[in-house]
Amino acid sequence: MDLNYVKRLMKLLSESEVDEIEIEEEGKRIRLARHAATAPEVPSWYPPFGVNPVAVQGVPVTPPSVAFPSATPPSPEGAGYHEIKSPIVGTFYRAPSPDAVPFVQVGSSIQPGTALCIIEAMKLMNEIEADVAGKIVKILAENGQPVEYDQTLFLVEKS
Amino acid sequence: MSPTSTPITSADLKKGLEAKRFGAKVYTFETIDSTNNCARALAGCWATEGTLVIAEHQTAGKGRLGRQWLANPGENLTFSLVLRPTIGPEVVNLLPLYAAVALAETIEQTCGTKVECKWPNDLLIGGKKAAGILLEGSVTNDAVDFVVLGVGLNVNQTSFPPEFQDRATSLRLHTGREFDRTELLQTMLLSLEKRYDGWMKNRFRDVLPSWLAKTSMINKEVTVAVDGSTLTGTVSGVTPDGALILQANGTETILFAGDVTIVDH
Repeated sequence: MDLNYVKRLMKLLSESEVDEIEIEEEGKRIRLARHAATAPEVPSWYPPFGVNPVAVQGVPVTPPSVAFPSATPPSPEGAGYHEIKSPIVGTFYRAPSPDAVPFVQVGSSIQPGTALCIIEAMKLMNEIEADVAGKIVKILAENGQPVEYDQTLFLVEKS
Repeated sequence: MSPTSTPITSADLKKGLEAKRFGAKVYTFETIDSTNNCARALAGCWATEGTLVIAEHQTAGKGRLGRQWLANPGENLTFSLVLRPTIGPEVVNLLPLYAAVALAETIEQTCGTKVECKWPNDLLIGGKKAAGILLEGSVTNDAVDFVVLGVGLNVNQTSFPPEFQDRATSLRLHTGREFDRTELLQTMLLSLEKRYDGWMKNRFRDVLPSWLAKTSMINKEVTVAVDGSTLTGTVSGVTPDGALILQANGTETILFAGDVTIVDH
Protein backbone atom coordinates (compact mmCIF):
# COMPACT_ATOMS: atom_id res chain seq x y z
CA MET A 1 0.00 0.00 0.00
CA ASP A 2 1.50 3.32 -0.95
CA LEU A 3 0.64 6.98 -1.19
CA ASN A 4 -0.73 6.62 -4.70
CA TYR A 5 -3.16 4.05 -3.47
CA VAL A 6 -4.38 6.38 -0.73
CA LYS A 7 -4.67 9.22 -3.21
CA ARG A 8 -6.74 7.02 -5.49
CA LEU A 9 -9.04 6.10 -2.63
CA MET A 10 -9.41 9.78 -1.76
CA LYS A 11 -10.31 10.55 -5.34
CA LEU A 12 -12.89 7.80 -5.44
CA LEU A 13 -14.41 9.00 -2.19
CA SER A 14 -14.62 12.59 -3.31
CA GLU A 15 -16.24 11.57 -6.60
CA SER A 16 -18.72 9.17 -5.05
CA GLU A 17 -21.76 9.59 -2.86
CA VAL A 18 -20.09 7.56 -0.12
CA ASP A 19 -19.41 9.38 3.13
CA GLU A 20 -16.96 6.87 4.44
CA ILE A 21 -14.91 3.97 3.20
CA GLU A 22 -13.30 1.47 5.53
CA ILE A 23 -11.42 -1.44 4.07
CA GLU A 24 -9.63 -4.21 5.87
CA GLU A 25 -7.73 -6.85 4.04
CA GLU A 26 -5.01 -9.19 5.08
CA GLY A 27 -4.12 -7.22 8.17
CA LYS A 28 -4.21 -3.85 6.44
CA ARG A 29 -6.96 -1.44 7.32
CA ILE A 30 -7.75 2.00 6.05
CA ARG A 31 -10.64 4.32 6.65
CA LEU A 32 -11.47 7.48 4.76
CA ALA A 33 -14.34 9.79 5.58
CA ARG A 34 -15.61 13.01 4.12
CA HIS A 35 -16.48 14.77 7.36
CA ALA A 36 -13.77 15.36 9.90
CA ALA A 37 -16.41 15.97 12.59
CA THR A 38 -17.68 12.40 12.42
CA ALA A 39 -14.33 10.87 11.73
CA PRO A 40 -11.60 12.87 13.41
CA GLU A 41 -8.87 10.67 12.01
CA VAL A 42 -9.25 11.01 8.30
CA PRO A 43 -7.99 8.68 7.12
CA SER A 44 -6.96 6.27 9.80
CA TRP A 45 -4.12 3.98 9.05
CA TYR A 46 -3.28 1.03 11.16
CA PRO A 47 -0.08 -0.97 11.24
CA PRO A 48 1.60 -2.70 9.66
CA PHE A 49 2.58 -0.11 7.13
CA GLY A 50 6.09 0.82 6.35
CA VAL A 51 5.33 4.44 5.65
CA ASN A 52 4.51 7.43 7.77
CA PRO A 53 0.90 8.50 7.81
CA VAL A 54 0.37 11.54 5.64
CA ALA A 55 -1.70 14.53 6.56
CA VAL A 56 -4.72 14.22 4.36
CA GLN A 57 -7.36 15.67 6.62
CA GLY A 58 -9.71 18.00 4.88
CA VAL A 59 -10.06 16.08 1.69
CA PRO A 60 -11.44 18.73 -0.62
CA VAL A 61 -15.04 17.99 -1.38
CA THR A 62 -16.65 20.52 -3.63
CA PRO A 63 -20.21 21.46 -2.62
CA PRO A 64 -22.89 20.05 -4.90
CA SER A 65 -24.08 22.15 -7.74
CA VAL A 66 -26.54 21.53 -10.49
CA ALA A 67 -25.11 24.12 -12.78
CA PHE A 68 -23.14 23.04 -15.78
CA PRO A 69 -20.98 25.90 -16.92
CA SER A 70 -20.74 26.47 -20.60
CA ALA A 71 -19.15 23.54 -22.34
CA THR A 72 -17.78 25.74 -25.08
CA PRO A 73 -15.57 28.52 -23.75
CA PRO A 74 -13.56 30.65 -26.17
CA SER A 75 -11.85 28.46 -28.68
CA PRO A 76 -8.23 27.78 -27.85
CA GLU A 77 -5.90 29.19 -30.41
CA GLY A 78 -3.58 26.94 -32.29
CA ALA A 79 -3.51 23.23 -32.67
CA GLY A 80 -1.35 20.66 -30.98
CA TYR A 81 -3.66 19.85 -28.14
CA HIS A 82 -4.10 16.26 -27.07
CA GLU A 83 -7.54 14.95 -27.99
CA ILE A 84 -9.41 12.66 -25.65
CA LYS A 85 -11.92 10.74 -27.72
CA SER A 86 -14.94 8.70 -26.88
CA PRO A 87 -14.13 4.99 -26.85
CA ILE A 88 -17.81 4.08 -27.21
CA VAL A 89 -21.15 5.30 -28.47
CA GLY A 90 -23.48 6.63 -25.79
CA THR A 91 -24.79 9.60 -23.87
CA PHE A 92 -22.24 12.04 -22.48
CA TYR A 93 -22.51 13.16 -18.87
CA ARG A 94 -20.15 15.57 -17.21
CA ALA A 95 -21.07 14.53 -13.65
CA PRO A 96 -21.73 11.22 -11.90
CA SER A 97 -25.33 12.17 -11.12
CA PRO A 98 -27.62 15.06 -12.04
CA ASP A 99 -26.99 16.97 -8.79
CA ALA A 100 -23.26 16.32 -8.60
CA VAL A 101 -20.49 18.62 -9.68
CA PRO A 102 -18.87 17.97 -13.05
CA PHE A 103 -15.80 15.74 -13.03
CA VAL A 104 -13.70 18.42 -14.71
CA GLN A 105 -14.00 22.00 -15.92
CA VAL A 106 -12.02 24.00 -18.42
CA GLY A 107 -8.79 24.72 -16.60
CA SER A 108 -8.87 21.56 -14.50
CA SER A 109 -5.56 19.82 -14.10
CA ILE A 110 -5.69 16.14 -14.90
CA GLN A 111 -3.47 13.13 -14.49
CA PRO A 112 -3.59 9.75 -16.20
CA GLY A 113 -6.53 8.02 -14.55
CA THR A 114 -8.46 11.19 -13.69
CA ALA A 115 -12.17 10.61 -14.32
CA LEU A 116 -13.36 13.04 -17.00
CA CYS A 117 -16.96 12.12 -17.78
CA ILE A 118 -19.46 9.31 -17.98
CA ILE A 119 -20.72 7.86 -21.20
CA GLU A 120 -23.86 5.82 -20.73
CA ALA A 121 -24.85 3.08 -23.07
CA MET A 122 -27.12 0.16 -22.28
CA LYS A 123 -27.36 1.44 -18.70
CA LEU A 124 -23.69 0.81 -18.34
CA MET A 125 -22.13 3.91 -16.87
CA ASN A 126 -18.65 4.11 -18.34
CA GLU A 127 -16.36 6.47 -16.52
CA ILE A 128 -13.85 7.74 -19.02
CA GLU A 129 -10.37 8.28 -17.67
CA ALA A 130 -7.64 10.61 -18.84
CA ASP A 131 -4.69 9.00 -20.56
CA VAL A 132 -2.33 11.95 -20.16
CA ALA A 133 -1.37 14.62 -17.64
CA GLY A 134 -2.21 18.22 -18.42
CA LYS A 135 -4.93 20.84 -18.35
CA ILE A 136 -8.38 20.76 -19.91
CA VAL A 137 -8.59 23.57 -22.44
CA LYS A 138 -11.87 22.73 -24.13
CA ILE A 139 -14.88 20.49 -23.61
CA LEU A 140 -16.40 19.60 -26.94
CA ALA A 141 -19.47 17.56 -25.96
CA GLU A 142 -22.67 18.77 -24.37
CA ASN A 143 -23.99 17.28 -21.15
CA GLY A 144 -26.79 14.78 -21.76
CA GLN A 145 -26.21 14.57 -25.50
CA PRO A 146 -25.26 11.52 -27.59
CA VAL A 147 -21.66 11.08 -28.64
CA GLU A 148 -20.25 8.87 -31.34
CA TYR A 149 -17.36 6.44 -31.27
CA ASP A 150 -14.05 8.31 -31.70
CA GLN A 151 -15.69 11.72 -31.26
CA THR A 152 -13.33 14.18 -29.58
CA LEU A 153 -14.63 15.02 -26.10
CA PHE A 154 -11.82 17.04 -24.55
CA LEU A 155 -8.82 19.02 -25.68
CA VAL A 156 -5.91 18.80 -23.26
CA GLU A 157 -2.77 20.87 -23.02
CA LYS A 158 -0.24 18.28 -22.05
CA SER A 159 2.10 19.07 -19.20
CA MET B 1 -36.29 -13.65 12.10
CA SER B 2 -37.09 -16.42 9.66
CA PRO B 3 -34.26 -18.65 8.43
CA THR B 4 -34.43 -17.06 4.99
CA SER B 5 -33.89 -13.57 6.36
CA THR B 6 -30.73 -14.54 8.25
CA PRO B 7 -27.97 -12.24 7.05
CA ILE B 8 -25.77 -13.71 4.36
CA THR B 9 -22.28 -14.33 5.70
CA SER B 10 -19.07 -14.83 3.82
CA ALA B 11 -18.55 -18.20 5.56
CA ASP B 12 -22.00 -19.51 4.62
CA LEU B 13 -21.62 -18.31 1.06
CA LYS B 14 -18.30 -20.06 0.60
CA LYS B 15 -19.69 -23.36 1.86
CA GLY B 16 -20.76 -25.14 -1.27
CA LEU B 17 -19.83 -22.28 -3.59
CA GLU B 18 -18.95 -23.91 -6.90
CA ALA B 19 -17.82 -20.75 -8.67
CA LYS B 20 -14.04 -20.54 -8.65
CA ARG B 21 -13.40 -16.80 -8.91
CA PHE B 22 -16.76 -15.09 -8.52
CA GLY B 23 -17.24 -14.75 -4.78
CA ALA B 24 -13.73 -15.89 -3.88
CA LYS B 25 -13.32 -12.61 -1.99
CA VAL B 26 -16.44 -11.36 -0.22
CA TYR B 27 -17.23 -8.16 1.65
CA THR B 28 -20.51 -8.23 3.54
CA PHE B 29 -22.31 -5.25 5.03
CA GLU B 30 -25.38 -4.95 7.19
CA THR B 31 -25.93 -1.45 5.83
CA ILE B 32 -24.07 0.40 3.12
CA ASP B 33 -24.96 3.30 0.89
CA SER B 34 -24.49 1.34 -2.32
CA THR B 35 -22.72 -1.93 -3.06
CA ASN B 36 -21.72 -0.53 -6.46
CA ASN B 37 -19.94 2.42 -4.84
CA CYS B 38 -18.04 0.08 -2.56
CA ALA B 39 -17.14 -2.33 -5.36
CA ARG B 40 -15.95 0.57 -7.51
CA ALA B 41 -13.74 1.81 -4.71
CA LEU B 42 -12.31 -1.68 -4.24
CA ALA B 43 -11.86 -2.17 -7.98
CA GLY B 44 -10.01 1.15 -8.18
CA CYS B 45 -7.51 -0.20 -5.67
CA TRP B 46 -6.61 -3.84 -5.41
CA ALA B 47 -9.74 -5.91 -5.89
CA THR B 48 -9.33 -8.89 -8.15
CA GLU B 49 -11.96 -10.13 -10.57
CA GLY B 50 -14.82 -11.82 -8.81
CA THR B 51 -14.59 -9.70 -5.66
CA LEU B 52 -18.11 -9.54 -4.28
CA VAL B 53 -19.83 -6.91 -2.15
CA ILE B 54 -23.10 -7.86 -0.48
CA ALA B 55 -25.37 -5.70 1.65
CA GLU B 56 -28.53 -6.49 3.56
CA HIS B 57 -29.62 -2.89 3.29
CA GLN B 58 -28.62 -0.09 0.95
CA THR B 59 -29.34 3.45 2.04
CA ALA B 60 -28.72 4.79 -1.45
CA GLY B 61 -29.05 1.77 -3.69
CA LYS B 62 -28.21 2.97 -7.12
CA GLY B 63 -30.37 2.92 -10.17
CA ARG B 64 -29.52 4.68 -13.36
CA LEU B 65 -27.95 8.11 -12.90
CA GLY B 66 -28.38 8.34 -9.17
CA ARG B 67 -31.94 7.02 -8.99
CA GLN B 68 -32.57 4.94 -5.90
CA TRP B 69 -33.19 1.23 -5.85
CA LEU B 70 -35.72 0.28 -3.16
CA ALA B 71 -35.43 -2.99 -1.27
CA ASN B 72 -36.51 -4.20 2.15
CA PRO B 73 -33.58 -5.22 4.36
CA GLY B 74 -32.95 -8.96 4.68
CA GLU B 75 -35.47 -10.00 2.05
CA ASN B 76 -33.67 -9.52 -1.21
CA LEU B 77 -30.31 -9.87 -2.86
CA THR B 78 -28.26 -6.77 -3.46
CA PHE B 79 -24.72 -7.36 -4.56
CA SER B 80 -21.97 -6.05 -6.79
CA LEU B 81 -19.26 -7.98 -8.50
CA VAL B 82 -15.92 -6.70 -9.79
CA LEU B 83 -15.16 -7.76 -13.37
CA ARG B 84 -11.96 -7.18 -15.27
CA PRO B 85 -12.87 -8.31 -18.77
CA THR B 86 -10.05 -8.55 -21.30
CA ILE B 87 -12.04 -6.80 -24.02
CA GLY B 88 -11.86 -3.47 -25.75
CA PRO B 89 -14.31 -0.65 -24.96
CA GLU B 90 -16.12 -1.29 -28.26
CA VAL B 91 -17.86 -4.39 -26.90
CA VAL B 92 -18.30 -3.34 -23.30
CA ASN B 93 -21.92 -2.45 -24.06
CA LEU B 94 -22.74 -6.13 -24.39
CA LEU B 95 -22.01 -6.79 -20.72
CA PRO B 96 -25.47 -5.68 -19.50
CA LEU B 97 -27.01 -8.27 -21.83
CA TYR B 98 -24.62 -10.96 -20.61
CA ALA B 99 -25.59 -10.26 -17.01
CA ALA B 100 -29.29 -10.24 -17.82
CA VAL B 101 -29.14 -13.61 -19.57
CA ALA B 102 -27.00 -15.30 -16.91
CA LEU B 103 -29.28 -14.10 -14.11
CA ALA B 104 -32.46 -14.92 -16.01
CA GLU B 105 -31.23 -18.46 -16.61
CA THR B 106 -30.50 -18.92 -12.91
CA ILE B 107 -33.90 -17.66 -11.84
CA GLU B 108 -35.64 -19.85 -14.39
CA GLN B 109 -33.77 -22.94 -13.22
CA THR B 110 -34.28 -22.18 -9.54
CA CYS B 111 -37.88 -21.07 -9.65
CA GLY B 112 -39.19 -22.90 -12.67
CA THR B 113 -40.70 -19.69 -13.93
CA LYS B 114 -40.20 -17.82 -17.18
CA VAL B 115 -38.05 -14.71 -16.95
CA GLU B 116 -38.03 -12.05 -19.64
CA CYS B 117 -35.20 -9.67 -20.41
CA LYS B 118 -36.23 -6.06 -20.89
CA TRP B 119 -33.74 -3.92 -22.74
CA PRO B 120 -31.27 -3.16 -21.51
CA ASN B 121 -31.04 -4.09 -17.86
CA ASP B 122 -34.25 -5.34 -16.26
CA LEU B 123 -35.60 -8.80 -15.61
CA LEU B 124 -39.37 -9.25 -15.67
CA ILE B 125 -41.50 -12.02 -14.27
CA GLY B 126 -45.12 -11.98 -15.37
CA GLY B 127 -44.51 -8.56 -16.90
CA LYS B 128 -43.34 -7.04 -13.60
CA LYS B 129 -39.83 -6.05 -12.64
CA ALA B 130 -38.09 -8.59 -10.43
CA ALA B 131 -34.50 -7.49 -10.87
CA GLY B 132 -32.43 -4.58 -12.03
CA ILE B 133 -28.85 -4.56 -13.18
CA LEU B 134 -26.57 -1.56 -13.08
CA LEU B 135 -23.07 -1.68 -14.46
CA GLU B 136 -20.43 0.92 -13.92
CA GLY B 137 -17.20 0.72 -15.83
CA SER B 138 -13.91 2.50 -15.93
CA VAL B 139 -12.46 2.72 -19.40
CA THR B 140 -9.77 4.54 -21.31
CA ASN B 141 -9.47 5.00 -25.06
CA ASP B 142 -8.27 1.50 -25.66
CA ALA B 143 -8.87 -0.60 -22.57
CA VAL B 144 -11.40 -1.55 -19.95
CA ASP B 145 -9.91 -1.19 -16.49
CA PHE B 146 -12.84 -2.71 -14.62
CA VAL B 147 -16.60 -3.07 -14.69
CA VAL B 148 -18.75 -3.34 -11.59
CA LEU B 149 -21.84 -5.46 -12.06
CA GLY B 150 -24.54 -4.45 -9.60
CA VAL B 151 -27.64 -6.57 -9.11
CA GLY B 152 -30.80 -5.95 -7.15
CA LEU B 153 -33.13 -8.95 -7.10
CA ASN B 154 -36.44 -9.04 -5.27
CA VAL B 155 -36.40 -12.44 -3.57
CA ASN B 156 -38.64 -12.76 -0.52
CA GLN B 157 -40.20 -9.30 -0.41
CA THR B 158 -44.00 -9.56 -0.37
CA SER B 159 -45.08 -5.96 -0.20
CA PHE B 160 -44.10 -2.95 -2.25
CA PRO B 161 -45.05 0.71 -1.93
CA PRO B 162 -48.40 1.37 -3.64
CA GLU B 163 -46.79 3.19 -6.55
CA PHE B 164 -44.72 0.09 -7.39
CA GLN B 165 -47.30 -2.64 -6.76
CA ASP B 166 -48.36 -2.88 -10.37
CA ARG B 167 -44.82 -2.84 -11.68
CA ALA B 168 -42.72 -4.83 -9.19
CA THR B 169 -42.70 -8.45 -8.11
CA SER B 170 -40.46 -10.89 -6.26
CA LEU B 171 -39.63 -14.55 -6.62
CA ARG B 172 -41.74 -15.28 -3.54
CA LEU B 173 -44.71 -13.28 -4.74
CA HIS B 174 -44.64 -15.08 -8.05
CA THR B 175 -44.03 -18.63 -6.83
CA GLY B 176 -45.50 -18.57 -3.31
CA ARG B 177 -42.25 -20.01 -1.98
CA GLU B 178 -39.57 -18.52 0.22
CA PHE B 179 -36.01 -18.80 -1.04
CA ASP B 180 -32.70 -19.33 0.72
CA ARG B 181 -30.83 -16.26 -0.43
CA THR B 182 -27.40 -17.75 0.18
CA GLU B 183 -28.13 -20.76 -2.03
CA LEU B 184 -29.63 -18.50 -4.68
CA LEU B 185 -26.57 -16.27 -4.67
CA GLN B 186 -24.25 -19.29 -4.95
CA THR B 187 -26.17 -20.46 -8.01
CA MET B 188 -26.09 -16.98 -9.54
CA LEU B 189 -22.35 -16.62 -9.04
CA LEU B 190 -21.73 -19.94 -10.76
CA SER B 191 -23.98 -19.04 -13.67
CA LEU B 192 -22.44 -15.57 -14.01
CA GLU B 193 -18.93 -17.07 -13.98
CA LYS B 194 -19.70 -19.81 -16.50
CA ARG B 195 -21.41 -17.49 -18.97
CA TYR B 196 -18.68 -14.87 -18.52
CA ASP B 197 -15.88 -17.32 -19.25
CA GLY B 198 -17.78 -18.86 -22.14
CA TRP B 199 -18.73 -15.62 -23.83
CA MET B 200 -15.40 -13.89 -23.23
CA LYS B 201 -13.82 -16.11 -25.91
CA ASN B 202 -15.74 -14.35 -28.67
CA ARG B 203 -15.80 -11.00 -26.88
CA PHE B 204 -19.44 -11.37 -25.83
CA ARG B 205 -20.71 -11.30 -29.42
CA ASP B 206 -22.50 -14.60 -28.82
CA VAL B 207 -24.68 -13.15 -26.09
CA LEU B 208 -27.16 -11.69 -28.56
CA PRO B 209 -28.99 -14.88 -29.66
CA SER B 210 -29.43 -15.92 -26.03
CA TRP B 211 -30.69 -12.48 -25.06
CA LEU B 212 -33.08 -12.32 -28.01
CA ALA B 213 -34.50 -15.71 -27.02
CA LYS B 214 -35.34 -14.26 -23.62
CA THR B 215 -36.96 -11.01 -24.60
CA SER B 216 -40.56 -10.42 -25.50
CA MET B 217 -39.91 -6.89 -26.73
CA ILE B 218 -39.49 -7.66 -30.42
CA ASN B 219 -42.44 -6.29 -32.42
CA LYS B 220 -43.82 -4.66 -29.27
CA GLU B 221 -44.82 -1.03 -29.14
CA VAL B 222 -42.75 0.92 -26.65
CA THR B 223 -42.15 4.45 -25.50
CA VAL B 224 -38.59 5.49 -24.84
CA ALA B 225 -37.58 8.51 -22.82
CA VAL B 226 -34.21 9.61 -24.09
CA ASP B 227 -32.29 12.87 -23.99
CA GLY B 228 -35.26 14.79 -22.65
CA SER B 229 -37.72 13.67 -25.29
CA THR B 230 -40.02 10.68 -25.78
CA LEU B 231 -40.13 8.37 -28.76
CA THR B 232 -42.90 5.90 -29.50
CA GLY B 233 -42.35 3.07 -31.91
CA THR B 234 -42.04 -0.64 -32.47
CA VAL B 235 -38.96 -2.61 -31.47
CA SER B 236 -37.57 -4.45 -34.48
CA GLY B 237 -34.40 -5.86 -32.95
CA VAL B 238 -31.03 -5.06 -31.47
CA THR B 239 -27.79 -4.23 -33.26
CA PRO B 240 -24.64 -6.36 -32.92
CA ASP B 241 -23.57 -3.78 -30.32
CA GLY B 242 -26.70 -4.42 -28.29
CA ALA B 243 -28.42 -1.13 -29.14
CA LEU B 244 -32.20 -1.11 -29.50
CA ILE B 245 -33.64 -0.70 -32.99
CA LEU B 246 -36.89 1.22 -32.99
CA GLN B 247 -39.18 1.77 -35.97
CA ALA B 248 -41.19 4.95 -35.63
CA ASN B 249 -43.09 6.80 -38.36
CA GLY B 250 -41.16 5.04 -41.10
CA THR B 251 -37.85 5.92 -39.55
CA GLU B 252 -35.38 3.56 -37.94
CA THR B 253 -33.76 4.82 -34.76
CA ILE B 254 -30.84 3.16 -33.00
CA LEU B 255 -30.88 3.72 -29.26
CA PHE B 256 -27.95 3.18 -26.94
CA ALA B 257 -29.67 4.69 -23.93
CA GLY B 258 -33.15 5.46 -22.72
CA ASP B 259 -35.92 4.39 -20.36
CA VAL B 260 -38.18 1.95 -22.15
CA THR B 261 -41.81 1.36 -21.28
CA ILE B 262 -43.69 -1.42 -23.01
CA VAL B 263 -47.09 -0.15 -24.11
CA ASP B 264 -49.95 -2.39 -22.99
CA HIS B 265 -52.92 -2.78 -25.28
